[in-house]
Amino acid sequence: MLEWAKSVPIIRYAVRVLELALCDTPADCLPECMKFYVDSSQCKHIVLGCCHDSGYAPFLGQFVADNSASERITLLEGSPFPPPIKALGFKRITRFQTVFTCQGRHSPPNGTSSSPPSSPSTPTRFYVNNAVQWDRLGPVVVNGAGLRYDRPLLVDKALVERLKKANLCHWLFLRGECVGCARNHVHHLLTDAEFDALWSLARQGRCFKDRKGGNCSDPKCIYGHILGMATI
Amino acid sequence: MKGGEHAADELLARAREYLRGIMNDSEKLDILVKAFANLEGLALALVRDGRLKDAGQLRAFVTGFSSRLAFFDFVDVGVGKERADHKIRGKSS
Repeated sequence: MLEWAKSVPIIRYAVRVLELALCDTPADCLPECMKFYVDSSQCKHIVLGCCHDSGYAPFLGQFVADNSASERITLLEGSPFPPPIKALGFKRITRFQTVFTCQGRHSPPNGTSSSPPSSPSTPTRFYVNNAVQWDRLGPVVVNGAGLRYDRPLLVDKALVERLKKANLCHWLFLRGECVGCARNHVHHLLTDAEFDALWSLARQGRCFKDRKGGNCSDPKCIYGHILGMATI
Repeated sequence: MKGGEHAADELLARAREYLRGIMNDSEKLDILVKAFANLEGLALALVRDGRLKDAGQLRAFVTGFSSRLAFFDFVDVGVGKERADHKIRGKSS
């Protein structure tokens, strides 16, 4: 097949995005395919998404020293690269965060043995998505008496219903991180409208501190604050 | 089906955006995507983890992804990861 393709000049291809971001994927085709495109002058750039698997490090190593190859290769990062991949020193690295967002299982930041708080019986999954527009949550707004209230949101009811059905994790999709819960963590990055719709759902649960009569000052708090509502 | 189409559209948009940043004339280039997966194993894993209800959902995704754009393909490579990995490592050592 590849020989045949090489012999047909009319096939014009320029950029190859090779994805291998999913689990349990046999690697036989990938190295063959990769070499074919690296050797081809018609292929201008390769974006490679297999680098969650350190087993590819020796294979990828052969391209590092060859400038004509390595300059045409970008490694696509989903979950953080394992050390053998990082050590290769590829200069071009990118993320497509709206495509490969939070489906990966991430290690806790800066720790190998430290783990986020959770009950010992449940396995810990730590989800992070730095692209989440969590800054929409702030700033904290207070009434004349200094009590916090939530700025009103304009949301589409149908959208709210759809997001309700999707059962998305409020923490991950609003705050950008979740230490593990039973909700859905697999979804493309929310649009601003979707973000507000999900936020309106999260607000239906009242902030614990607010409920206890305390004034919540967390600018990233996703829950409802009604202490200040009466006298805006 | 829709999910696969959406994934293809989004991937194309992000790839275009990235390439614009690193080269000239990137708009003239065709973008080809090959996604390799052991679909049976992947479906089992996703259903086991509760991310899909059944294997049919992955099939629909793959169909949507592959039919959306001419140069976008999902390649089902079946089982054999160990064998293939062994081959890669063997060549390099």
